[in-house]
Amino acid sequence: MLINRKRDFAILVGVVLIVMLTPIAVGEYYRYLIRLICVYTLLALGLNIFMGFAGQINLGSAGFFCIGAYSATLLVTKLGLNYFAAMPAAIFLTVIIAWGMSYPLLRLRGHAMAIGTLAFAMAIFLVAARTHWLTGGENGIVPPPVFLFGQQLGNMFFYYFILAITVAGFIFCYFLVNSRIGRALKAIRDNEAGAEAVGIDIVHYKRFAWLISAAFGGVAGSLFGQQSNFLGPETFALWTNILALVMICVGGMGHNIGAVIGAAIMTTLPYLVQGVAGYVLLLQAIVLFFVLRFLPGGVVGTVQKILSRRLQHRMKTGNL
Amino acid sequence: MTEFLAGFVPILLVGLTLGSLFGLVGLAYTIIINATQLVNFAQGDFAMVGVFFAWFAMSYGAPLWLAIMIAVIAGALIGFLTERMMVTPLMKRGDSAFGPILGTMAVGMIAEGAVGYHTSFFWMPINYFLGLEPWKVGMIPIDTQGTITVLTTVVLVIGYWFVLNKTLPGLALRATGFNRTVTQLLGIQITRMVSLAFIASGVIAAVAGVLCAPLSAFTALEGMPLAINGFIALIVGGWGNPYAAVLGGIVVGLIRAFLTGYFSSAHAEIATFVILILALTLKPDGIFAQLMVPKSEKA
Repeated sequence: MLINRKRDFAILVGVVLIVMLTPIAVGEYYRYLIRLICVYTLLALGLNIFMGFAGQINLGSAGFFCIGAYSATLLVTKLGLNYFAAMPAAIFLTVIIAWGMSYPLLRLRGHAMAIGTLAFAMAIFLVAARTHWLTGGENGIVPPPVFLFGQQLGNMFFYYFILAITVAGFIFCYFLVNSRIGRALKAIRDNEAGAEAVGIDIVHYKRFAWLISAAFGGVAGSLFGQQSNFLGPETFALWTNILALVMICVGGMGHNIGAVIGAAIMTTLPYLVQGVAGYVLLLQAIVLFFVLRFLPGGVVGTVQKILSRRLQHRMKTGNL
Repeated sequence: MTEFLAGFVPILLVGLTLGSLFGLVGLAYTIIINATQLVNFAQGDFAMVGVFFAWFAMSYGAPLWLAIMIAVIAGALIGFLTERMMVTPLMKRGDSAFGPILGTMAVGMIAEGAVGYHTSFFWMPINYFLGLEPWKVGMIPIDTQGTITVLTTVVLVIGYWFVLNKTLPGLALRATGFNRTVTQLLGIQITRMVSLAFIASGVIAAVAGVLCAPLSAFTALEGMPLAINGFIALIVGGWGNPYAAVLGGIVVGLIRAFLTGYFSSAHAEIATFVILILALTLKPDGIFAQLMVPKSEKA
């Protein structure tokens, strides 16, 4: 697809303006939902860099999410740091752990990498669930309120704070995938041997994508930890790994906008069917099943295919 | 001495039991890997479906042998359906390397969701096959369920070896794993062999699940931990070698049991993942990779 920066930015500004004005019209429930969508969008954007663009597989994105959430909250509760100091520290910690883990994990390929990363996330989950002296285990932690310059910050502040970070993250990804680095990542995805032959340092770029993915996970986690009224290990169990994956799959792997759409769909879905809580897992699974089987490329990929087919048809008939 | 043995033998047996279960799941993975080069992410859910049908049959008063038969048939059926509805169509389309991975995962999630909806994610209790009272050899108690599990595993592995090496379908299956194109040229229907592999894998997973169910509180979501441990067994043992997967499972099971017995259970679970990372870093091919590989197929 052609890159049309003006059009893309017009759409982005429009969407952001609408989301900025939404709080006037809707109640706290919907504002919470939008904050949640933004947090998951960040997680999905990071995963999309690693999976959609670099073409590697990561089933353990909840591991980064978990490290970010717990370290930000623990730095506040145990060390008494301000949240705005704890957040960069938490992101830094996530990236450092990801850097250490990149040595055993990034040597793997395909299925082995899938399970390796899944096991990494499970280990992080077990640490969160079992180290009672640090994380409180199943009892969880209640994140304290955030103060800045002596004033307690409310939900409205965080609404705009999270929105700003999400937009910044999206713009970062937008420019990243069209840059030299983004082209290198796509080359690795499309043909690893070919990329190596033209002089792309595969190990280096894979690790770069992995660290970016981890940093996004850390940001999402540190925001999520603050937003949840109760931070327990269950949030980061196996299911969250798969949920992040389902998001980019449903939205469209390899499209930044797909990560946003997927996060919005999969986060809203459980709230739409609240009356029938038992169905949620089944419903999400069936959505994944149908997308995989009948909409390869997800929502964005399918829309793109329809548009390009229509364009071809119009070019053939000379009816432009 | 007898006091030491009375403490040691049960832990050893627990290790062998866990190891056999992980090994069986590892074997189930390996069958599919050898036929399609694909890891089946629904493997744990195959086991879970087996447990569900056994529990369901028993809750209507079916005897144990009938429940196990039903579980085996259910395992075979879900294996077959996964292959027909998801794996083969996605492999034929072949547009994304993640397709089959996510496809098997989606099938597993649907199974989890459906069973979870039916049971409200409560556990599906199945009693010990031979009663809770352990056998006694002198002073040493011997767990009945563990013994059955270990013996079943031995029988299944020998049976698998026999089918693979001494029968015609086994030969076709090995040929499929060795070279797809040539196998097809020789007139063997690859898709049928893939179906066979999925059915065999579903059956073995269902047996592993039913054997495991009395020992643990098996809920709709409990398939995944079993699957992950089975995969760790596979990595520790050796990729694509069924006997190595079983032995790898026993190594992992023994380490876990001794850590649980002499330290604490919280450490044992994390240790499993440490073993995996160590195995991936130090010995990516697996400890027993060359075990029982015929000379003609050795790399």
